[in-house]
Amino acid sequence: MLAPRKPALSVRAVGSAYWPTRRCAGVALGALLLAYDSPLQAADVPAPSVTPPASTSNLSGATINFAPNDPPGEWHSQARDAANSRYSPLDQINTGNVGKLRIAWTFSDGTLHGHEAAPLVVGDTMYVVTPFPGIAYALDLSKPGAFIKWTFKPNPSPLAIGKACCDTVTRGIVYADGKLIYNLLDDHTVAVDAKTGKEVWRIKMDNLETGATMTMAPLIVSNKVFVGNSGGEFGVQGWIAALDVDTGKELWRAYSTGSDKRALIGPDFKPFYSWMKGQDLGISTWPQGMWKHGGAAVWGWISYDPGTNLIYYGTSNPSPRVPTQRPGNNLWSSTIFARDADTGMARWAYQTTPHDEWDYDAVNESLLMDLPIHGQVRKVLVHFDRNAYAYTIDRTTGEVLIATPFAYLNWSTGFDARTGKPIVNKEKEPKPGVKLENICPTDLGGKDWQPAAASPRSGLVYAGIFNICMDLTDHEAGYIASTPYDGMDAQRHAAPGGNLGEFMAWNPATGKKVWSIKEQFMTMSGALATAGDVVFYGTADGWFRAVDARRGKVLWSQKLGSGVIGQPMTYLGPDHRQYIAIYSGIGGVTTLVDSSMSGFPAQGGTLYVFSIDGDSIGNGSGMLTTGSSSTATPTNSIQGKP
Amino acid sequence: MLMRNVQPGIIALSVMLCACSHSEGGSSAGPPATGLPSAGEIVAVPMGHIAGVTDSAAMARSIPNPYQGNAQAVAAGKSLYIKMNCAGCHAYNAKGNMGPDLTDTYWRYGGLPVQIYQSIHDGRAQGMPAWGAALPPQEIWKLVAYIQSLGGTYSVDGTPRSGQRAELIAPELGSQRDDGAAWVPSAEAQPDEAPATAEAPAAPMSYPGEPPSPVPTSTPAVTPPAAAGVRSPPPASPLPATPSP
Repeated sequence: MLAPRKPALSVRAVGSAYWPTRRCAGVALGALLLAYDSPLQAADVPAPSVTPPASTSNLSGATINFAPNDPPGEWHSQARDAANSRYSPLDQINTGNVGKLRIAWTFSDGTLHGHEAAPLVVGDTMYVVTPFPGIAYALDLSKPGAFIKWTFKPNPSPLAIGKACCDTVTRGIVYADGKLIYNLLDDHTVAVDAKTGKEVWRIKMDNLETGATMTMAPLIVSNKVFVGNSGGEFGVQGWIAALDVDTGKELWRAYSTGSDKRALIGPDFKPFYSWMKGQDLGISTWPQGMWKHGGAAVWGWISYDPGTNLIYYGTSNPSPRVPTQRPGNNLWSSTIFARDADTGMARWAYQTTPHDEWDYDAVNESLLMDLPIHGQVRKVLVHFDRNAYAYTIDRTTGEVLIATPFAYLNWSTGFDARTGKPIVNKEKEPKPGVKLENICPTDLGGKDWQPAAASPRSGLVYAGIFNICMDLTDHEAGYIASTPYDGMDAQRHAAPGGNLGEFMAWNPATGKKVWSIKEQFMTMSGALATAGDVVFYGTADGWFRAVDARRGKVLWSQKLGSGVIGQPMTYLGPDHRQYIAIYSGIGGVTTLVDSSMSGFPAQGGTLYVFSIDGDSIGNGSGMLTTGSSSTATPTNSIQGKP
Repeated sequence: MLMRNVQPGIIALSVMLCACSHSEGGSSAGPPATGLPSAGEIVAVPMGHIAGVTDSAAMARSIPNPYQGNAQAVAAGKSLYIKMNCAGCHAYNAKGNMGPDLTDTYWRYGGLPVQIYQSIHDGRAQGMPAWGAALPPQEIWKLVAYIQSLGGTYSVDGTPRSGQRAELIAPELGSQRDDGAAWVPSAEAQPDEAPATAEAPAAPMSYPGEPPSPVPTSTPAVTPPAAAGVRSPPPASPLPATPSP
């Protein structure tokens, strides 16, 4: 009964490392089912003190620092913690009972377009933010049906709509110190009082006329909020900045191209590989002056390690996207940076795709873990790059420890561990005016922004990835402010296998896939991992699934109103019941690939919240809190009749 | 704005004058703009329906694209479409991405040639840049010709296209359409001296890699022509021929 019924889906175990033996797996699962067979009762669900399912080995030996260690039932930032784990310690919902998930309540936010953000839960309140025009809602979870406490309408400029390369999305909101902070598409960062819904401050961070927008989710560390811009398709100047949480005052800003001074590169900057050492490489690795419109925007995720006080983030593709116009490595585009959180000064950098030719941004999330590698525990970051290599990198030095493909690729023939550079396949280098067929992955990457999740129980990392290739024709592009500085004409199609999407479990200590689930449509939702050993993800055609974290078996699926490209999260309600929440609302770049396929859903904008048996505060009989005012005569009354 | 204070009848009159001046004239400008609608009559076409009038589209229909169906102009327009980065938003196949699909029959701001001209010339509030200061009118008309060649635009003769809702109004409602012959230039009145097209191999197309000031930041204020007191027009004077390198 728990098996999925969708024919397009197939589960495949990769390798056999994840379970010692099949028999062992069966025994463990049986025990697990026994432990959780009795349905949790609605009214008196205990706090999450249930003994976790009989644990088996941590397959990678990974440990994770979950700072800032928010209350277990809450969710204060898009990734829940600064390590970007997207892991919840809640385990009421687990492999034994997840099949009983039912809709508890839903919330339509009144907007369409890509819904890529996760809701937050702080205390008894849920906070959500919509795609453009960036409306924020506070929902009272202690009231039946999640009563709207307040609505904040920031009214950004509609001129921003046409400047957003990849739909008018936001990747979410962050909470700290009584404030909600997020970015508006029209280049403002705004802080809202979480209690009242009143604006506290709003700061203009960039100029819309250059094509810059803001879509990323900020990260807060103590009194600083980190934000960055979007616009790698418009020839913007990419940057990351730290603002004071209380006032919005800019504390530092580091540009991604230009002089070392602009890039906040100083004496402490020690990249691991020699080809990233030198003065003002953000100028000299470009043709004359082209760094000024070099892109390298900062629209992805930021991680923070309290141990080293470093933040980690990636920069976007270089502009224009036509590589023949910009010979050179084009630093610091497609680069992972480590920076001092207080000063912004760079500590190290690693360019994942030197002289990017296919739009392989490095903005995807870096998950911070400590991993035993070759017998030694290393402080690492795990990063699934758009270029389809999965990296395990020493986060103190920038040394690549492991780089192996996680998705189908043919732009590169291998990885040179000595130089830290992927080896480029000369046959897949585009030339203007020449149609080049079957380059894999596409400009959307082997994986896009959709963030992975990690579990300290399984030691694995879980991610939605892509299986897509493109036929590419480049056209030389001229820079005209306020228009795209682009030039890529890509036609996208499925890679070998025919499926566009895949959800996988990855062992970051070995660089190997443990299991994967193929999906007909794109898997561009975030992932959620929980202490119940269940992981969650969604598909572009609107399925939301729960999977056994260790075996990759789909335990539950629900079709939602629109496609799922949001980020699932989980929280403990005021009733001490565990809920799972996910936005449904297709958009983003899925329309570039799947929209011509039959079955591609219409737009939407609804939050779905699930619980075991769909129970929630006020649900079921007796929930009506007002008396009946019916004046109908007894014969017409529906009272007491079906 | 102004419309609020003006009698509908006066608007109608001014519209008629405007349309007539075009249909009778066709002599407004010298080469290469021969046959091009004047800036005044283009800006006189309102974006919305005209209050008090039930045939608002007639005015827009009265201004055809002088380059319509001209193969060389279509080719030049396609070249401009790529070089001016239109394809970056509307896609190389014009089926839309950041910007709307230009091949379907849905037009947020109108699908008649002059309405598309206006959208390119003036820009639109959801991100479409204004090209009136960067491209001369004939180049914008060539872009319009290319977009018309894609098949999704509306026809000036009022023929409904597949997917386009007919705007015919029942005669018994007393539509101005019925007696509005003067509004819609007859076929003969269309400028049959459509501009020679081989000329002007679109100088503005070569746009170099360096960024400097392609577009003046402000346009000079121009007094609206009396007959077109519907909106403030952009400059009627010659526009910069090319975005300066």
